Amino acid sequence: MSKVDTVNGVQIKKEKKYKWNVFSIITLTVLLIYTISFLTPLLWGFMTSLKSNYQFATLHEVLELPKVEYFMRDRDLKNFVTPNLFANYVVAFKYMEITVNKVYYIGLSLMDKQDLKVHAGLFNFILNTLLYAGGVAFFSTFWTMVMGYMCSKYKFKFSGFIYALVLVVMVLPISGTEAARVTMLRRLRIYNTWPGIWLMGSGWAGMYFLIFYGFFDGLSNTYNEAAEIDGASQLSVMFRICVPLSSKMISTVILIVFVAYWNDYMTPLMYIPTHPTLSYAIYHLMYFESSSIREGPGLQYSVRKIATLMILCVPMLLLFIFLKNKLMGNISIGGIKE
Amino acid sequence: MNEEIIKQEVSEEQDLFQAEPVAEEGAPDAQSVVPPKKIMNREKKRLLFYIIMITFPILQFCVFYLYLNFSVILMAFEEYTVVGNGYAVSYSLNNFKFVIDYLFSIENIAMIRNSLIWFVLHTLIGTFLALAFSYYIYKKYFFAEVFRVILFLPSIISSMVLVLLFKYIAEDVYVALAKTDFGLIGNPETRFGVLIFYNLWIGFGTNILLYCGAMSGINESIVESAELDGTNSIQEFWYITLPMIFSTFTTFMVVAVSTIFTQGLNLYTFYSNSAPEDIRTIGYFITVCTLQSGLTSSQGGRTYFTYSQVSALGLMITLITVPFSFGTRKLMEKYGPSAK
Repeated sequence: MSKVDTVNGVQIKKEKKYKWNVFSIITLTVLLIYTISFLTPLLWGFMTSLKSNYQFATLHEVLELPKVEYFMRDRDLKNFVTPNLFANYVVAFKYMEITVNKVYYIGLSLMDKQDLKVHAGLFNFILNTLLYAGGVAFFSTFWTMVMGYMCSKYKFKFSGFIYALVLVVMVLPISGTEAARVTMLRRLRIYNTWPGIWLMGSGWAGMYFLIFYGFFDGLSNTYNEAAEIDGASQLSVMFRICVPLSSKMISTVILIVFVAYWNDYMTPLMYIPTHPTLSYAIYHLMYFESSSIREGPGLQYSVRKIATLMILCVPMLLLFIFLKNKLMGNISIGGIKE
Repeated sequence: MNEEIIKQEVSEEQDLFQAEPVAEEGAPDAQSVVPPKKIMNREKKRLLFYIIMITFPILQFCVFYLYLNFSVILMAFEEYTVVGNGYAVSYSLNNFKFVIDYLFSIENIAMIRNSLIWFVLHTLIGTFLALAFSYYIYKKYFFAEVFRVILFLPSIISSMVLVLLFKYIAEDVYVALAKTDFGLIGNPETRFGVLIFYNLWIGFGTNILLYCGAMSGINESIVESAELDGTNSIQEFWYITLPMIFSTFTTFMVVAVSTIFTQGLNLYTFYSNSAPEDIRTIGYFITVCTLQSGLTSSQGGRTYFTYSQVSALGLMITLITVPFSFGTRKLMEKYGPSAK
């Protein structure tokens, strides 16, 4: 903690020294152990992704450093990939693909045609991930922001009712809705479609509604009134004055939600099974045999699967490194402080 | 309409509508009279805009929350049978009977037991550690910022990456180093403990952020005066910090209670559909049934609930956890420390 003192009219920042005590020593020890235990698998994963299958699976060299010469013993790489430390990544980028059965519903009736298969490669996975994570992050943040603004700036009785409703929704735990949700989406004929998943993801009644509500409630009405005097419409006041003022918060919330959906594989698996995202594809590769339509090395070996895991986490780690302050800004009901 | 109504509206809208005063003879306050038409138009515009903007979100809420939960309730009583290309639906309490018989059978009661064990351990160990770490970061002890970043990483890195790396280490690396036949996850004696450890290990992230945010809102002067009075760190935490952040702590406890029976413990990521029966939880079971089953039970071998039975299970869980959630909140508000 720092304290500002004024000495002879000059402000001096005093950095308060923390005191070592039993609590801080014990907690520091636990945190160091935790840090080492958390970073070790990541570093091990990266190191293993640079090994050949021969070194890892045949020689069982699980802790040794990767050796380029062992890549010559991975025969399936011959004629396709030059033996090098990053061969597994080359295979993942060029040959990662999965096959899922085309799931086709008319209302509730499943018309699953086994001979219709969807083949998807890395480009599809990344595109689907951007559509899923980006789309849901955008729509959910947008509508949450709209509702937060409308309820805080338009103090009709219904706004108060909506606020209370959100509190009830957050507190009331409703369980086991997945099956009913799948059935409902099929009935509405929007199961396994992009509009369907975006519509489903446009939910706004959660913690971020309270955050936006608190922020807009704290925003002076003077901005709105001044704009209205100048002849601005309600839409202009909202999108040309208030929304730009909340741009920091909007970007923080979109980022947090985007990261969460980038990593999510369960929702695509359940609701858009023939639009595999990167997470879903990697899950599929881990647990199911996938027939490739192309000739080339496959991702059946552990070292290559680990390489795909690294591909999945690197974009988010880079995002985190560059936007750490945004992602870790102090979130509280009433705003986001950075 | 009436002068009184016009004057009342004028007092609210005076700043906005500095219309030219209507110079009526004998009018008591000509300056403050604003044409009622303008005021009505503005209010109408605001109302119209309000209605247009909230229509879609309210409809979305009605469909994806109200109608959905109504569907869960309705579906819990439905039984589907295949008739030609469609389904015949009948209504009964059979789903509930089936669920109760299934869950409380000797083979499956482990699901309830595992869910409760996780709740207790998460509350005792996970919450305690989260508070201790958050307090450490709030007090800005040695390397606090670095630890804050590290503790947030589980929220950034995909659970699949962490689970699968953890699995490889607990299986392949452990087997190679310990020269055993089974890894920690393959060994029936250790796998549940390992699962609990993993979920505690990655359970930090947003909760640390929220606890730290709440702690940073504590008035520094209170802390300084406590330090002047000679309180140590633990006393400060117990008598000042915890009471001041108790509302945040209560929120986390209520969420933990409400998710007792829906926690999947990342089992689906560890095992896909094939988690051993002794370590399954109810949350995992619901996920597997939703993915593997349908309106009718058509799977051979392993028992999967139909969608209707999943809905019945979900409804029963909701009816049990709602009073517990509210009760927990009430108890903590009543008996917990007060910020005052």
